Amino acid sequence: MSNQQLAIKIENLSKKYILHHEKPTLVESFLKKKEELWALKNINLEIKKGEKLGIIGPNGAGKSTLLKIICGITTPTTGTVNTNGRVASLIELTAGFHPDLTGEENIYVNGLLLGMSRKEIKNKFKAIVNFSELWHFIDSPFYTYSGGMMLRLGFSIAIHSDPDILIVDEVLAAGDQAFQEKCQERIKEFFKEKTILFVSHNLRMIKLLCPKAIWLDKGRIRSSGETKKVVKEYLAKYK
Amino acid sequence: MKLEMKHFGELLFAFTQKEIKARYKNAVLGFLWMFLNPVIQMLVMGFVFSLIFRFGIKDYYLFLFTGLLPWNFFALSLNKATPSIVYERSLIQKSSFPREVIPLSIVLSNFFHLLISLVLLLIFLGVTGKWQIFYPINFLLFVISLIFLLIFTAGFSLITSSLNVFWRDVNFFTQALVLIWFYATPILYPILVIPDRLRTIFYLNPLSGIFVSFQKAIINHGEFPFKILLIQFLIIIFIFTFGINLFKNRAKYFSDWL
Repeated sequence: MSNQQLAIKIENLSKKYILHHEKPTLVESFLKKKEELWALKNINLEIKKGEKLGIIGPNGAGKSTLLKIICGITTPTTGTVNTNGRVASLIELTAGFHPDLTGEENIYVNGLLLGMSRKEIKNKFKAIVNFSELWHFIDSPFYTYSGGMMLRLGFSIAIHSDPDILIVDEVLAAGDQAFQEKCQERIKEFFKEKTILFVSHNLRMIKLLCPKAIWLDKGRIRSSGETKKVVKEYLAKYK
Repeated sequence: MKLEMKHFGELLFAFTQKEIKARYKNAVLGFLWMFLNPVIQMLVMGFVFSLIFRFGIKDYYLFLFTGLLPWNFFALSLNKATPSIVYERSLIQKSSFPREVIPLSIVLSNFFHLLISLVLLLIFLGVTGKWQIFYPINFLLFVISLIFLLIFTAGFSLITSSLNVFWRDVNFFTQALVLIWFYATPILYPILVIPDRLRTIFYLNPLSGIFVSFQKAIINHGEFPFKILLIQFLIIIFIFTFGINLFKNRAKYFSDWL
């Protein structure tokens, strides 16, 4: 398959962490022997454009590490990752908001952080505010916002950054019932054309949304292919 | 590549703006503090230090301002930038933006405040008839020193902020270093009180050249060792490039240590 049709290509990827037991200090780093932990080992994965891939596995299997590497937040120890297009994650939605700045100022800072240009944010500003339904509060300082309002704005900015690859965590509880439905509506729209990585422990949801899945276990891909098959194997192990 | 540079610029600008804006939000006097703070500071320091030291300098308080204003910029920037990556860990875990903007925006926002204080100082010099600084050659020296101060502070902050992620001791070390550094730099005293033999050692400190240049440009005090300054400026450029490269290299692993 040509690389043009791939959204993500991962080859021989491994990630090693150094296990910390305490705050790292200069003296300790010379005295103590380092403990290593392989969070991911020899991962090979090709995700086509428009594909929806479910990722399952127990806690500590390496799911978050894999997503972080795909987002470019951390670097693999060995191997390569190639992503084609803008990646956005719906994880850490409220990070990067400054409590003393207004909603409007925060939209600009956060949008830039997600890779949008100033002009792009300016053009989408109305749409972002409209989607979040925070018209009244957009010039209020952020510390006056409730938790739900922060999530709404965070979600709205992320979704308007127009990602080619969207990373969705299972916890998609932004705002109240009505807003959640709206978010899910929007994600479904995305599901039609964009590449989606969906991490969840909700196997029913995964089966519903993703035709293909991988099962990560102790940093390795234990099984991959059709979601039904992968989930069945996964359940067989844990029952 | 060009697009990346533009995005980096926009991000850096937005972060710097955020630093400056956030500082004055919810203050009744708002941006007026930007001017009030340096004035109060200069009055107090000028009064206190003029009583203690003088070193036989005619306008000692002016000599003092020329050194203290840039020093405050350097010390505040370094002390705030060094732990900045660790403080902004949630940002690092959020997306893959260029991490340099975190320490650099702190340095730039402090530089903005320095520029305001310096404009106030220039107005004061103009009004009181001390026009030395307004000669083109002096003004040029002033601007060049200012640029090198910015480059040095940025480069040094990049080094300390990236190392502090891996060894949190760096923050404490820098705090102590800044205290010692203050006395090792000709700010309270003119470089000329240092005996000739020892002066070379003083010039090992890259900041001393910058401060001597400030004093020469603004109040025409002290010496102007051209060759030494040239070497120091080259060292500063080296430290800056080293800082950028070290930071870029280490930034890949920040998220693993936060």
